[in-house]
Amino acid sequence: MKNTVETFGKMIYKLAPEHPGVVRDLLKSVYKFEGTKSRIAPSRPLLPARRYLYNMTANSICRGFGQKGTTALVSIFLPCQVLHAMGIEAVVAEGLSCYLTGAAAADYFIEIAERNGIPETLCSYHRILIGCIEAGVLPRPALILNTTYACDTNQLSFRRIAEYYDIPQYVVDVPDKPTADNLQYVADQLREMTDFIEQHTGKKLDDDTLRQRMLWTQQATQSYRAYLDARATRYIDNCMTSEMMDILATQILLGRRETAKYMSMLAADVARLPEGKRGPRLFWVHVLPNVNGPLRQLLDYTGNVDIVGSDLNTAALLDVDPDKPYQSMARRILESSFNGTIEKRIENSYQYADKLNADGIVYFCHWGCRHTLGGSQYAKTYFEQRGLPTLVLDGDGCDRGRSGDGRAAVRLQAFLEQLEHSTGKDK
Amino acid sequence: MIAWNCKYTPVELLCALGAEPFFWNSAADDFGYAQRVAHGSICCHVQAFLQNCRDKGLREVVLVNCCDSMRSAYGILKNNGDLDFIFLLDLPHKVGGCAQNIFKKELFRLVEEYSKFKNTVFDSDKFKAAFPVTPKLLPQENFIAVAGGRVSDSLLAEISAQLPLPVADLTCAGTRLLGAPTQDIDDFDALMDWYASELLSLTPCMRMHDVSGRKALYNLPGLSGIIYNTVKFCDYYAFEYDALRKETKLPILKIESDYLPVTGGQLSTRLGAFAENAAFAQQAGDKKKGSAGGYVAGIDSGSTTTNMVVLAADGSFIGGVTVRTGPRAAVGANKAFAAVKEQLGIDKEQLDYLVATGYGRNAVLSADQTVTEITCHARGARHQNSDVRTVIDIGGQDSKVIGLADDGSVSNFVMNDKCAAGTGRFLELMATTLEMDVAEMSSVGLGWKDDLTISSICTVFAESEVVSLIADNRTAADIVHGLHKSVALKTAALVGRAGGVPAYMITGGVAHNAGVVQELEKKLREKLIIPDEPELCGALGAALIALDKVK
Repeated sequence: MKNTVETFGKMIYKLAPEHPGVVRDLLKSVYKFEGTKSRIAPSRPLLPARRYLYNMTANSICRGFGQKGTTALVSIFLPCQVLHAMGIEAVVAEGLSCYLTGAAAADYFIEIAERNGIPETLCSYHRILIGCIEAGVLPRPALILNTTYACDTNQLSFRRIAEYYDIPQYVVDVPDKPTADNLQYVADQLREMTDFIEQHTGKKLDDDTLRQRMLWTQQATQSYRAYLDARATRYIDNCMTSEMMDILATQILLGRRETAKYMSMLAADVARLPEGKRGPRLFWVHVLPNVNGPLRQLLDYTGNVDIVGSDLNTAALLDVDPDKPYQSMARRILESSFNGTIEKRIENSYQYADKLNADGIVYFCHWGCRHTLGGSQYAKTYFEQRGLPTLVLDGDGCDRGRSGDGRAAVRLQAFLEQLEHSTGKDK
Repeated sequence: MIAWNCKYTPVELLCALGAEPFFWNSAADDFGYAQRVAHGSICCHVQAFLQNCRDKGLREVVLVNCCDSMRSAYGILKNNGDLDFIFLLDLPHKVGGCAQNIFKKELFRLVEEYSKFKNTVFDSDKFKAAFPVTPKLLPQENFIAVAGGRVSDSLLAEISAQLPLPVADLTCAGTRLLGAPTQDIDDFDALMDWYASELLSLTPCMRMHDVSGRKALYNLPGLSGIIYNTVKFCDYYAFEYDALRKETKLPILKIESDYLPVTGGQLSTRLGAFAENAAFAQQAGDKKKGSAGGYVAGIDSGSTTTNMVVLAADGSFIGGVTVRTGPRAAVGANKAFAAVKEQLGIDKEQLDYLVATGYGRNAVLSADQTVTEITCHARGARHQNSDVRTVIDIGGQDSKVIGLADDGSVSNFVMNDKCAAGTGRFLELMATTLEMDVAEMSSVGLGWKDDLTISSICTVFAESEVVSLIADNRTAADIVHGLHKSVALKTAALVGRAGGVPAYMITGGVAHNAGVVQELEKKLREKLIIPDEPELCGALGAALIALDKVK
């Protein structure tokens, strides 16, 4: 399988310079196939809910590669309920890049981005996104919509793409504290963003449709919290990719009927599992490097190690009021643990790690994410003072050149041994 | 004393509250402490700030959440307990009415917290007095701007010392041209409204949403050239540079700084080349000699080899030599003089003019003039082929890409000299690991079968990757091919950043490596021009410049 993927990646690399349209069609076909295969006959023992999720995210990525001028390029924390209500597909750097790397097809796009002057210190998810657009493989989106957090990269890559393709861009400026004034400021901008979308797409937002999307958001949030409650005492034979796919579900895919269904299935699937733990239970901070082969060997489907949750999926599990959609979306943005100081994010991570009965925390320093990197030593001290051993692991979520395969694996394996020892598993 | 470091900091407000604000923008001696409490890959200015907070014993700090690194630094400084007062100002990304109101509330919050800390109240007279009577103005005559990301005080002084025109600091931290209130505003709320508006009206930094106001910076009267700085691990300004280099007609030089003490060689090569090639170049220091011996020469003192070319007074090529530089550039130069005498029969005293170039150029004491290798490579390449528009020089210690204007002058250049990846040294190291010599490596990779990719960016880690591949029984040909691809990839990226266009000429010792050349041609989709003696290109350019002096 690995060789097949590598061969596919090499083919993409060779074709992309001259035939971006062919590459686009190939990627769409492969993702469609993979999505269907995951749903019908997954190669790994996935929960039914996760089979549903994999198919759902693959279809979303395929639609992102669809007709020119039909999608909206968004940042990961932008609330997409309005887009869903208007039938506009949201494309997000983290999802797109994750899928491209999964198909071993990202190398050419990284190369193009760096050749076009994008600094190699920039977050690789965004370098791949820029490369994919500037190589002509990702079709021109109709709109760009982004929040100013969670990272500096938002201000840079989206502005660059907007200028490159002359795409209308709306930026939601997010202050760092959830005060009443700030809540109003963000809610007003979200309303303005809706007008902006209507103006540039000619589509009209129906208030009832948006209300329905908010209802599904609320259902999904409640189900995910129920899942986490059940997860606190249960083991899943799992993989990094599932946790990564959940990031799409807990962020940009919120507000879809399918997402509410997925979250509900997930809660039910996990509730049916027997209680008990096996090996070390890990809480993960930041993205998961599911391209790193040696790390996958240590974490994916081991029958032992369990990634019980991640901070990206627990950043803002807040109730929403379907009758106050803009206020609700604004509150989710402002209260997200990724908005504001590093302390807020670390405290939130600790709360969930504790709730999920984690044995240890992996704090993943994704190359290019300065907020995460800067907080690494503070986080380690904070977690360990509260009894949670912490591994600060340097690497890259999706740039294979920076993923530091073997070196990261040695550190992680030693950490797992440490956890197994401290929890008495090795006796 | 309260330290601040961002131009959006309400400095005048702090004065009104009885504080003594001072702009803290120094380099640090090292980052030992900063990397212990944070991480080595966050913005180097922030690392320096963290380090200096501890080393210099700062007690009060006002920060602005201008970037992710600074947001993290706030958490670290707040929790390490060394400061008496710390405040993080939330700066909006937009500047309209609502954003201004949000920012005004932040100013109120600062007043509340600092007043409580110092037990003071806002003093409107102090506030007014804090604005300079005469606002800082830009130079009235022709000047060079240092633009982009902030530069440390010491780096700005170094740049100013090396350039032939006055230097103005137009970096993100240097453009705080704030005017005093033009009328009395008694109401505090209204005064803060005005103040918030003034602060948000400063020339926007790249962190702001609307950066169109920055264009005015590059159209200032008298602006004659731009030194464009990016701070290591700050991505904001690389984006602006990429757009600016394509748009501006002014000479522009890109540098990267790291807020550590300025090291001479790398910076002076860049600044020297910039000054040599820009329209404001001065001819000071040049001297013209007579024609006693009938020869001129150029000597290129590189990190690995020293090359020398001798021309007759009529411009005809007499010959060139290459010797190992060894541990000292001066020794390498003497070896080159000895080789010229032995192989070409020409004594040093017979040289009417000698131009030295390369990293060791200043160590060649008998040189009549020193010129950077950028200018010399450009001159040498153009002399050998008038079609050349881009020179790719992969040397032992660095690699550089030089863009040539229609008249053969340098239009742009980029260098990679802080990392061995993609240089001749990288290949030498890998050849040692593979137990073969560099010449052998050149051809071995051509017989590859399995298309391996060496994905590690760092030379040291790439070496361990090669060791793993050897252990994995991969053939030497496949591994070498992977290494050649890696060098080609790095070099092609450099070409892209320089805005390089065909025809390309490759110079330097690596031009002999058929594997690298082949892979680079694939990446650039263009044949490379390889001169007969690619390692002599810089020395030839130096000799041609020497020839100009005696003609």
